[in-house]
Formats: sequence, C-alpha cells, structure tokens
Amino acid sequence: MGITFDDIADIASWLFLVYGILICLGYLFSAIFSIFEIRDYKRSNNYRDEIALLQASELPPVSILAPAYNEGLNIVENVRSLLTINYPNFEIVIINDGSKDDTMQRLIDEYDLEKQDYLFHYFIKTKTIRGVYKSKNTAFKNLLVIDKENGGKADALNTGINVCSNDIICCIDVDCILEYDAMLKLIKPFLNNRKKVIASGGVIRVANSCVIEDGRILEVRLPEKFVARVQVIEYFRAFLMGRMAWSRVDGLLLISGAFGMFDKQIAIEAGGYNHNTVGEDMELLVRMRRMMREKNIPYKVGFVPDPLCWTEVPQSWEILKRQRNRWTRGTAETLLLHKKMIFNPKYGVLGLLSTPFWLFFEWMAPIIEFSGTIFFIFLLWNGLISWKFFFTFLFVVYAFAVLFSITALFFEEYSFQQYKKPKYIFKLIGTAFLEPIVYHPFVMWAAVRGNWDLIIGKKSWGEMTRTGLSNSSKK
Amino acid sequence: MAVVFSIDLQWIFGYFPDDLPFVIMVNIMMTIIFFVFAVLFVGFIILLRLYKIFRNRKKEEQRLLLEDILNNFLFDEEFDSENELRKFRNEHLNTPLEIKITIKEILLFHSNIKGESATQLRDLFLQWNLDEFCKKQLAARAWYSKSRALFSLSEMLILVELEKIRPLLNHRQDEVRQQAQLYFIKLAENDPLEFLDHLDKPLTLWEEIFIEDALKNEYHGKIPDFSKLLQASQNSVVEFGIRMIAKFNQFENISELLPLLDHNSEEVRCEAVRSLSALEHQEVIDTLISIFGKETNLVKKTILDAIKHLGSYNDLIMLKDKIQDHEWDLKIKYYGIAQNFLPEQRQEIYNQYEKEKALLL
Repeated sequence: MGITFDDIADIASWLFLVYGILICLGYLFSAIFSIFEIRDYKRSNNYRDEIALLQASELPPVSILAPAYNEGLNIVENVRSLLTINYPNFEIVIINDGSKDDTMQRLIDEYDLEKQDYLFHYFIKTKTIRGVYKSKNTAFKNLLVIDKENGGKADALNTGINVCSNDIICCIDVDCILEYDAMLKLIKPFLNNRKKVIASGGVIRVANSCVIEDGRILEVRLPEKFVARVQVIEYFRAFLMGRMAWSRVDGLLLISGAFGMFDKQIAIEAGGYNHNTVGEDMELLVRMRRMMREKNIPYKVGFVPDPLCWTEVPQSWEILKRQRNRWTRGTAETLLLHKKMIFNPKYGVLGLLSTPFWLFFEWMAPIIEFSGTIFFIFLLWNGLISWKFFFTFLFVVYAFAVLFSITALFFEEYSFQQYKKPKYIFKLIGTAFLEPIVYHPFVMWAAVRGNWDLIIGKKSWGEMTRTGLSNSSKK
Repeated sequence: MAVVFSIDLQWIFGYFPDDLPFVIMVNIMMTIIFFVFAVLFVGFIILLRLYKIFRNRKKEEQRLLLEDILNNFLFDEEFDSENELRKFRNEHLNTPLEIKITIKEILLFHSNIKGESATQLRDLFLQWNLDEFCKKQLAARAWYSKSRALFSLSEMLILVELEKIRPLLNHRQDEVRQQAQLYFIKLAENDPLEFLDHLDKPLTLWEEIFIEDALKNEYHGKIPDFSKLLQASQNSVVEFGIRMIAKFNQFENISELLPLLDHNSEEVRCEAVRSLSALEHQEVIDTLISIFGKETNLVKKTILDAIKHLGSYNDLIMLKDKIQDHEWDLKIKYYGIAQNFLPEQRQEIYNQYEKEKALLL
C-alpha cells in the first residue's frame, strides 16, 4: 500500500485549503476586534476640546528624531514644517546620515547653524558623529542638527537617541506630513495609562495627490495612479483592521517607522535600533516588548486610531517591488531574531498569537501562495487539473479578497471618512475589485524575491526614490 | 438540531445538480456569500455616506437655529423669550438627535460666556428639560451615555444625588471615571478633592491634567490644602498633591514635603524634589546633596535639575564624586549644568568631559 502521486496531490490540496481557511478566519477575527476598537474610540472622543487643554499643559518634553539622507531637494521645507509642530515642549533633531548631496550645507545656510561642542555619549554604538550644530538664530532654538558618517537609518536614529535631551523620543520620516495635533494625540497613551508605556503609534495615511501647503494637508485626494490608489486600501486594511485589532488584544508588533513615539530609556536598554535588519522599526518594538516581558515589568504599547501622519507611497512598480522586498526581509529577520518567542506561552499574547500570526500569515503567506502557484503549474503539466475545482476555488479566493477590502472601506467610512468626494469611494471600490488580479500577484512576487534575497544574504535597503510630496497638488 | 441542520443543508444544496461534488457546491456557496456580503457592504457604505450627509445637514440646521435663538435670548432685549423658547421647544426638541445637538450648542455657548448670561443659559437648560434628558442618560447602561451626561450636568452645574455619582468614580470605563471626578470638582462648594479618597485605581497623568484644569478654571470655592493628600494611600494621589502644592504656591506646606524625600516610592521622591525646587526652597540644597549618592538614577537627575534651579556651581561640584563612572546620562547633565553656571568656561568644561570620557572608555 504505497502512497500514490494522487494521494500526495490530494494531501497538498487539503493543506492549501486548510491554510486558506485559517487565514480567512484570522482576517475575520481581526475585523471583529477592529470594529469594536473603532467604535469605542469614537465614543470616547465626544467631549471638550482636549487639544486646547493639552497645548496649555505641562506635557513631557519630546525629542523628534528625523534622519535625512540625500534630502537636499526638500530638507529646508521639511524642517520648517517640523518646526511648526503643535506641542508645548519639543526639540527637533535632524540627523544627516552622511548625505552625498548638499543636505547639510542647505541646513547650515538656511537655519544659520554653527558647530558646537555638544555633550553626548554613545549609549548605543553608532558611526562617528562629525559635528552637532545649533542655530545662532533664537527662532530655531529647538533645532539640533547632527552630521554623521553614513550608517543607514537605524544608525542615524540611534545617533539621535544618543544625542537628544528628552526622555520621550518621536521617530519620524523627515518628509512625512503630520496632522496639526498629531504629537498631542500620540503622547496621550503615555499620559493615560497606569502601566509603563514604552511606545505609541498612530495611523499612517497615503499623501500622494493630496493638496499640501506649508507642510500641512489642505485637501485629501485620492491618488491618481492605480498603484498608489491600491495602497490606500492596503493601508486601510493594515491600520483600520490589522493594527486596531492587535492593539485591542495588546499584541502590536509594529509601530510604523514613519511616525512612532518611544520611551528613550527603554529603547536604550533594549539596545536601540538594530543595524543588521532592514525592518528596524518592527525589530525594535519586538525587542523592547520582549525585554519588558523577560524582566516581568508590566507595560503597554499605545495605539492611536486617528490618522496622524501622511506619507508618500511608491508610485512606480519598480520602487514598490523594492519596498515590499525590504518589508519581507525585515519581517523575516525580526521573526528569526526572536524565534524564541514564537509559540512560547511565557510571552503571552505575543508568543501565542502575534508572532505565530506574523510567521504564518505575513511572512509565510506569499511563500505558500507562490508554492500553490507552482503546485498548480505542476498539476497542470501532469494533466491533473479539474477545471471545475480550479475555477470555483479561484472565485472563492477572489470574492474573499474583494470582501476584505470592501470591509476595510466600510471601516474607513464608519470611522474617519477622509475621502469626502463620492467619486473617491466608487474609485476605491473599483480598485478593490481589480487589486486581487492586478496588484496582489505583483506584491506576492516582490515578497518571494525578498525571501530569496534574504537567503542569499542581501542586506541593502534598495533605493527608495520618492517623487516628493512637494510635487503633489500644491496650493 | 441535527434534523434541522440536515433539512437546511438539503434545502441549500437542493439547487445544485446531484452529480456536483460537495467541495464545489461549498465553493459556489462561499463565493455567493462573499459577493453578497461585499455588495451589502458597498450598500452600507453608500447608506452610511447618505446617513452622515443627512445627519450633518440636520445638525447644521439645528445648530444655526440654535445660534440664532440663543443669541437673541441672551443679547436681544426685545426678544419675546417666553413664546419663542416655547415654540422652539415644541418644534425642534423632539428627537434625541435634536436634543443632543441642543445640549452641545448650549454647552458651547456656556463655555464662552460668564456671569449673568451663563446663569440665563443654565435656566434655559432647565426650562427645556434638558437636565431630565441627561439624568435619563446617566441611568442608561451604555458607558458613553453616562459619560456624556456627566459632562453635560457638570458643565451646567446641575446637582444630582451624589449617591448616583459616587459609584461612577470607580466605573470600569476610564471616560466615565474621569467625568465623575470632574463632576465632583465642578459642583463642590468646598473640599473639591474629597473624592480622591474613594478611588480604587491610581490616577493617571491624563486625569491629573484635567483635575488641575478644573481646579484652576471651574471650581469656585476655596483652594484646598493639598497637604491633606500627602497622607493618601495611593501614591499617585500623593504625587498629585505634591505637584499641586507647588502649582498653587502653598509655601506653608514645605515642611510637609521634606519628609517625602525619604518616601519609599521613587516617583514620590522625584515629585517632592521638583516641588521644593519650584517653591524656591533653597534650604533643601544641603539635604539634596547629602541624599544624592544613595538615590536612584531618576531622582539623581531630578536633584541635578533642582541644583541648576536653586543652587550654585559650588553646590554642583559637591555632587561630582557621587556620580558613578557608568552614569553617563548624569555626567552629561552635570557638565551641561556646569556650563550653564559658568558660560565663560564652556569650552574648558567640554574639554574636561571629553577628557573624562577618554579616560573611562
């Protein structure tokens, strides 16, 4: 009684089916948790104007760390926008990560910077600091610019952590657009918790095609290009359905590198950002959480459901491919570095839910999907395809993918309704129908390539050329 | 149950040809279900959009009507209050949405005016029976209704039996707890912080910000003696008390703060150092210098800040040898303060730090 080829094909088919059902159930539960989280958040925000009160209060001072590499084109405007942040007590720390262009010189000229003998210590090992600059003009007294040797984003952020003077740090991408009250909202979890808060993050939105003036979003518009528009839906799914649900069960593993707040001391104790991964934002949070858990210190990671930060997403397929390649490697590297946590009850929700979910449904999903495609080709080659089965399975998967995206659109409509024009909603619905056919196979392929690059030991970030938000519909 | 289930399945699968495999039937069923849900959600999105448009329009209409009538009521002496207000009540205060918008608008007006006009608005609130609506909401099961009702009642200074409010101080939902705290402060004639004895959870910084604001801007009685809070069982209340002593310049309580420098909670000790510094109590410098060596990193940092604020370079150098070799954050702070005291020696102090760094690393 040997196992026949048909038996193997049968077992593989069932395994793919079970995996598919599990992934659908995972998404279903995350949708349910998210809707409760959004509902509660909406209900808790109907009272007095908290922002006005917070502006006038003595809030903990925050150091805003923004690494810059070859940002000469927009750095002056970006820093000017950061300097207008609405928060009572902050310093802006720009870290010039050995830019090859004129980023540093532009900053020196525009902000009247002079080199200072600045007291700092390498709490975290980083590349050498060439100089620390402060402005001679008192109008820019809360601006600090660090010029350092190139070492990558993680190294730049660690340098910022070493030099900055406040106990709470906010790490941002220098070119992202913050909502006017973003900092006041992001600090709230640090104030409104009985446990030690080690980090907090918020919702990131897509800024492509939006109308921007003086570093502020004036009008929210839907990206014109399909590739950017589909990422709007992706961000809805990731933030309104994914992170919202993880936040409800205290299982967040990722605070976006574009905008997140951290307890500096805990970040230093955990060893700062890891230079050896391209997913340094996720890795830091996982390491901080792991450390707190191992030390048995009660803690919390906050999440603010409001859209706080707007960022430019890739508009070209090539750049998107590089980005997704990097994200995949970052996820895999983080999970490999912290494999001890996976299925380990000692780490509670993180060990039993978050890390297994990320392993099977984030990292492995594209690999399994790709294997499924290869398996399909193999069956096709051997004439083993039942087209009835094939098409009905294809339709189920397609229908579920569309349903999931439409649900995310519904969540957006229910919660923040940022895309006011009715035509935007219809365009997004259309995009949701096209995504599984046009976009999804591409990002799956990019993720598979990411895994391949991981195996061959590729460490680079890949060029992330941006069109520049200053080129968006600017008033 | 099994019978019902089998009948249902038969009913569902009866539509499919008999020779169709079970898996295919399930797939077709699931495809249809998913698409139906997708279409339903598209429908919900459109309905939600229409509902929000309608609701916002209704809100705007009601708001404009209210703006008009409230302005006339408050500022137009020839306004026929009795008839117009009755008419408005009969015509525009019928649905919960209208009532909620009205409450919100009155609260907004109320927060921007003082004196006789504020009293007039409060009377109007009662005349339109909005207080009754709030009281009903207070008794509702939903936490957000309770919370909103507490907010409205406290803003309009409407007294409710305290027995109804007191349990809400320890409600499971933070928002309700916070609004209950503020209710007690806003309506207190004296002893506005009496409720702090009844809390079963520590205060958060967020709650403290709101309590402080309510004490400063909405409580009209005599400012309490915050030293009473220093005996509280919750450390968060003690910390809040210490901070308020400094914020309200209660110099008479300095003697009560000094023993707290030996408190077993690090946060309480930090807060005590901060407040003594804010109260410019220079006599504490010697004590701070003497305890510095045995303190935690956090308290040491606070002491350095206090020395910067209260002391001199000579006080500062007393701490130099008490900073351990590995305490780089303290060293940076120490040298930074030294530069502050002696700006003309900035470069020498920086060189000294660099020298020490080179020696130790």
